[in-house]
Amino acid sequence: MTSRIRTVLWLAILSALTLTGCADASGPPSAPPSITATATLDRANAAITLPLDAYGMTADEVATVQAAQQIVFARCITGSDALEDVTRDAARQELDHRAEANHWLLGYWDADYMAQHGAAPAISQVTLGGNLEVDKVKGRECVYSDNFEALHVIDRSTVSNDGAAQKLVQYSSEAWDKTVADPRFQELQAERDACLTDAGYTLDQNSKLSGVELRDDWSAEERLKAQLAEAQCADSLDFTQRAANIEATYEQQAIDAHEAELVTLRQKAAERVDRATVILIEAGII
Amino acid sequence: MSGKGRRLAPWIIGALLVGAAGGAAAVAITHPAVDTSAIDNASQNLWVTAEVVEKPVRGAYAISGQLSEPTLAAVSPLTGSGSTGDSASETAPTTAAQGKETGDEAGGAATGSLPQAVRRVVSATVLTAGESVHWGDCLGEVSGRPVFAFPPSAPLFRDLVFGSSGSDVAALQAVLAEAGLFDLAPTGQFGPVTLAAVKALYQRHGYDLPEPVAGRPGMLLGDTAIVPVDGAKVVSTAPLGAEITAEQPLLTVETAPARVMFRADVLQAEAFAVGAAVSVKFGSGDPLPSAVTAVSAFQAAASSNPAGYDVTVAVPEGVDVAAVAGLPVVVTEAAAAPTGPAVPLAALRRDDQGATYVLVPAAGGATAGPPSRVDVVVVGQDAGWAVIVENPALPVGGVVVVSGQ
Repeated sequence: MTSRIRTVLWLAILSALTLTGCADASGPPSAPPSITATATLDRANAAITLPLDAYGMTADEVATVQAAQQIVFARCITGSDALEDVTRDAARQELDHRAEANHWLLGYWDADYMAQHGAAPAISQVTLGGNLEVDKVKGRECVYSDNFEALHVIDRSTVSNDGAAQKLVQYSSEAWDKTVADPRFQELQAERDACLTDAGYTLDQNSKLSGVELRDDWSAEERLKAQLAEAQCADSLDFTQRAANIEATYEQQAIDAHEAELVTLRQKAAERVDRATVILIEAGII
Repeated sequence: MSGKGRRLAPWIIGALLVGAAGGAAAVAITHPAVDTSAIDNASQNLWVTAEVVEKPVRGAYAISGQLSEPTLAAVSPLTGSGSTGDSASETAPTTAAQGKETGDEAGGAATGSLPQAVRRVVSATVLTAGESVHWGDCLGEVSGRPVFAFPPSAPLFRDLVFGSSGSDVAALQAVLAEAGLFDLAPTGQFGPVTLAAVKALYQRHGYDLPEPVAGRPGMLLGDTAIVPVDGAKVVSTAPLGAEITAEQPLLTVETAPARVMFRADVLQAEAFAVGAAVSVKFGSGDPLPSAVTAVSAFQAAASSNPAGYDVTVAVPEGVDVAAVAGLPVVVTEAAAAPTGPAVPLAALRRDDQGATYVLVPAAGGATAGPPSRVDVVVVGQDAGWAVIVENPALPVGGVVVVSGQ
């Protein structure tokens, strides 16, 4: 066979492979990555720490910043540096509130914690301004003021108009989406959901996390029992640790791709916390 | 080297070789060759194993409680204007006196309520400390009038007479039923059956049926007293001749005994149903046996208490409540927690996918082959052990590899 003939044959084979898709440039769907990162689960506080959390604010730091937001907002509303008691109360409530954004990131778990503390909300329930009378237009103006925006929370779950800060939300959100689409997660999810249906509960069809369906007409007791059932199923299967490890792996991929950007973000978060701390000290809150 | 030297060299070398061979032989004799393959094999397959045992899924719940003093209530006859304040019943037979205005009759011990000016003095005692009081019982005699026990739900505000109607009459009928004197469903109508029952109640205790309104017999408001709990225990009674005042009630009753209370969360509550055996420890004292006597309805979370149920436990017998007041109290469930097969936590392994498993040695031991993997589901952990869902491959008494593989 001459070299020309060989070349023609190879080209023909390559063409055939290309046409049949074997040499598709995008390739077949990529297999999920091996688990290369682990999440840290703190059962005493039902807290899940994932790799991206290192680049945002901690729960304590979020509370500090939100307490300072109350003061800055009130000063903007009243046009005075003097603080009313309602503002001090709101700031102290923020400090007392430790909203763990990651409590129920992967559904209910840690039944012992939940039985003691309930399904605490993942976000602050303190109203901005507390009991201060706030004109809507003025309130909007104050929320978009430079002083207020310089105290925006940076974490995985707080949406703001700060583009840089939103990268953390974006990366963690993408990692979460990849996690729930991961066949290993779905297998775990199916095990937990089977446990729940065995216990007589129906599943939430409107959530990617599925889990127990909480009905509006249930009493607080019924809701808590259902949430505990989900937590017990998750605990018995070690669902949360295994699922969080999958998410940690996707987050680690994001960190590897954007580390410099994330380090800058962490510095920004630290500056905001420092600024908030100064405001709280000057206001006599801490 | 000289020629002599050259001749000696082969001999010297030969002697050294012979010496070396002899030494080697001597070493071989005194230190025979060791077969190290067994050690090698043992070091490669030296497994530490543990037996699968039956263990509680969790440790016993131990919850801090609070000692509550007994709840006491003062019981004295009710006072009022003595007016019947009602219209005649539609169904009760009418009397000539029906509709007449009621008037207090001075000193009317038998025919009307005591006027406010009359001293209320204990004129006879009926009960003693330690006795139980039930609704419908006679509690004593005040200024010559008997005093009957009524429940707090009875809306008493007037004398009840033949022809009266209302919820207070229904309450009277319920009390008469408790006393075994009225066997109809309460109607709220004071008719002849009710009248006969009221008459029997008075007569049972040696009193004539009063006539709160002339010509209309019935029950005087002043002949009644509210006892908060049916079966309340008498703690003290006013002595004969004592004037009934706010400070000196006719009776003091215990409506709830001293008890230990605590909040159990929803998970813990399963271990503390009514009747469940518990032990109660006051301070550094010994745990004492007791039982759960009541469990409240679901309570929302409040301050430091989780959402759950308020559990009441009887103070163990023989405890001097005054002596232990103020001491920390811990209530521990007495029944053992559910059990299941358990393996040491150190035996649990996790694969790349996060699945948990243990290794089971091959039959015949380490030399018989590699251990086999058995996936497990952990349902509880306590004291270094993981309780797992029952698995035919891991029976109690079976063996798992803890380390060495």
